Amino acid sequence: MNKIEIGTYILEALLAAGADKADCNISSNRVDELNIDNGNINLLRSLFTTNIGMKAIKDHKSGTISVNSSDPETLDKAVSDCMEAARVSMVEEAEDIAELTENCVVGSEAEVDLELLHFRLEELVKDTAKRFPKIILNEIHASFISGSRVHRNTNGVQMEELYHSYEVMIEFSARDKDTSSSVSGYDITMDNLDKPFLEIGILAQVLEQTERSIYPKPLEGKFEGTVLLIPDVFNQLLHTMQGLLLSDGRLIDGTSQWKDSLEKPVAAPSFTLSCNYSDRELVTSGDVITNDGYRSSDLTIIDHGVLKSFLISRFGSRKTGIPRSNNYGGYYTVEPGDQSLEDIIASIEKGILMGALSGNQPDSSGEVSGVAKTSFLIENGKIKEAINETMISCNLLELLKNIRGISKEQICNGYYKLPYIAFDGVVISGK
Amino acid sequence: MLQNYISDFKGSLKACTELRAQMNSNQMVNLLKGNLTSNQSNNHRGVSARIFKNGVYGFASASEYNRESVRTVLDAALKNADFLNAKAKREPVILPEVSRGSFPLNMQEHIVPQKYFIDYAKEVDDYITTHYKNLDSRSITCKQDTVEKLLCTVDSYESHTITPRANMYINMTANDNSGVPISLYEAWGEFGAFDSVFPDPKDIREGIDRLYERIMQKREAVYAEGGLKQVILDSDLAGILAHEAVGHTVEGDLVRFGSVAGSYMNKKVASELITLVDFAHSYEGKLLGVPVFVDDEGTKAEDVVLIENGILKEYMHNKETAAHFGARPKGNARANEFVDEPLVRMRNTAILPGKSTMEEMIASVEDGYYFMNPTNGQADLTGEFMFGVAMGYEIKKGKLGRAVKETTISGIAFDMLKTADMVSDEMVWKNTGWCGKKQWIPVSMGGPAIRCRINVGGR
Repeated sequence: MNKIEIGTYILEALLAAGADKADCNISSNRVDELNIDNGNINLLRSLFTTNIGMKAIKDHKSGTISVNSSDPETLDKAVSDCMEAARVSMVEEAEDIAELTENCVVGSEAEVDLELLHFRLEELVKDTAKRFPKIILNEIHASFISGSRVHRNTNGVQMEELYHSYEVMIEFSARDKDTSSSVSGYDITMDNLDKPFLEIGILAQVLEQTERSIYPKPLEGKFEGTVLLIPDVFNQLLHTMQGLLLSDGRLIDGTSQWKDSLEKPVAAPSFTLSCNYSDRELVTSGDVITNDGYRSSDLTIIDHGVLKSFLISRFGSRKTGIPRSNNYGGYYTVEPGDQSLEDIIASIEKGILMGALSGNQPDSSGEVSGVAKTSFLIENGKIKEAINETMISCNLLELLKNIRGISKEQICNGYYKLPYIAFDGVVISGK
Repeated sequence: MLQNYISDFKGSLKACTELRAQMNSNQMVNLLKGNLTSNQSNNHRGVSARIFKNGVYGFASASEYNRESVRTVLDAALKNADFLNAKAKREPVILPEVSRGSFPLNMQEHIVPQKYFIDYAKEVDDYITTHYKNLDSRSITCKQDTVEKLLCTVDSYESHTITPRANMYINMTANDNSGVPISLYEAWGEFGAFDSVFPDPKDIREGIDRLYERIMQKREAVYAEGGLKQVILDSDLAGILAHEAVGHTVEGDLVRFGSVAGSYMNKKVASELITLVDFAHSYEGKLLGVPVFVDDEGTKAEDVVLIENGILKEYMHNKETAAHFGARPKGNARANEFVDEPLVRMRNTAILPGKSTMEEMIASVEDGYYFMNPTNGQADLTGEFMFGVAMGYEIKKGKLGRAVKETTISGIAFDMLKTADMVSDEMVWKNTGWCGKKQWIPVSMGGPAIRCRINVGGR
């Protein structure tokens, strides 16, 4: 059966078993992945994967089942288990399926170019050894994913997405004789292999910073200062912010501190955050059709500091009365500022350039603390020595109101388009 | 239960080949402020093959599990190994020989009805709403993860295992004195099916009461003072310390990448009060949270004594790192799902108990903290580690004082462990953790309480 036929099979079976409404997501993909371990390409994995999820709603009670095989025996059992899960569930009026708007087929599949992928990896190893001789490429996972997914429901919704992308996750450190730096990482994604990996995002800059951080000095004392984040760290904080303030869970239980802040200022006026699925520089492949049956479109979340939208699903919307958002986040763009990175650094009296943050999972209060890794002291407008045993402590909500500068330079690695950003008022403590 | 199609292929397998059929089942129910936000059951099975050839691996997996797909993955894995072997420019690697044998099925499959999870969660939720009025929100998650693995090799152990793990997580949120929401959670878990591990919701009421008492104290919490402090780490934090601060630095693959532990073998890395072990499956005759009898490379699992009385004694290995270091693998190669290749992973990692009582330990601190409730943790090749702490108390002149807000503690593992000068006489296991290292995998951690000096992130 193809995916459309599997969808028909499932929906008809669920209705026949007594469901009032139902939906299903059927996907299959192939992943080919080359792995580098300690500088050598030593593993090639090929994965053939199927995922089938189904939801049944009966008498406002729902159950969800997921299996990974499309043979009729597996599907029949899944249907039976799904109906049983719905039967024993609790009444939840907010449970529903997507309304029928416009069905679509989006995206495209492609074949992996394994020889070129292997070539680009070997090129990365050679070029890194030449330009950054102290860098050890500990692990690299370079994969090509190609597949398709279909969402169908008993309202007649039928959305199909074809997708393909290359993803490269690089973990590295620097070593000089017996001394190692911290482990650093950098991920990139693209839909072709036209460019050498070192030319994508700020991979080269991060490698260079890691080389310079082999002999860090512990920071002495404690002070309130400025933290300048590289885009990767900023992206990490944005994802934390999504979970704490913008998404279903915290809105449904009322603990998001932004729950009453739509159309109100939540960040500095220089800050505009969006999530744009139509941006061809971002590789959103595989995420355009949501699991609850909608096509993602562009969304401005914060506009010049004012909160314009949450990232809320249909279920969250029905629970809270907040309109469903155009997408559910993940591929962030922040508008660049008008200062160069160099000018921002020159304006900092005392602070740190943070290359990575090893931090806690903050609770609803938004208190963030963690260890600054691959980081450098900034003093009187100049980047000084690498530091270690340094912790930062701040509140995420206050941070966004204390933006010192947003760089003109905006970096794209396929997952995000973000500038460098400096925040004031952060407690920085050393030994 | 998995049908055993893979043994039919044993005759055609070459050396250094693992053929694995695996099923990961997961049932989960979540109540968020009384709303059922998750009522799901997942069941993913498949087959994979990994072939080692002159220092490179070919791997393939398929979701469909039948004789045809077993043949397909074997052919695809060989093709991948050949592709890399043709391009590889490295010296051939000879993997160590390990004992051969067969580990028979350890237990029968037991299906817990979905209704059990829902009813259990509802009863816990009812208890909380009836007894505690000052909460802004509560979340209850009841779940069970079960892994069934069938492993076939010709030059190692074969095995058939079923390992269920039942967990429950309760998160409470309340407003602090200035109206800012604060949260605290507690987690429970053991090896076994959910209805065996959690037979009666009344059994955890004491834990719920303690969680509520603590979050009410946290409403008036103050910021911790940042800097190097003397602290008592509660047993759950000692467990994550064993895992993050030490465990990762002594995984053979990370030692090969340049972990600081590479230059410390047989040297003093901790105070002599510290003995740290990665247990395979049992402690004092009791099955642990993540029992590994045979790992996913077919190595029969044994305990690994990482630190003994303060001296670094061993690393954890898969066959390849064991070959590199001239050591013997002891069953640390684990894969999470059928699509995953085995990596060097921890299992049940713990610091062994000492002789001090908690009362003695708290009374001994002039000015410091008592920390508990870890949230997450991370480690580094340099030995620098971090973990998030959701709850703690000041200690002033030997007495517990005000609660402290969320913070993070960190240090350089082998420096910090040398400052451990009191270890409590209790051993507490936490079987609720997950470890991320390319693949998320369940792990178990344990330990006593420890007094040491550590960096505290604070205002």
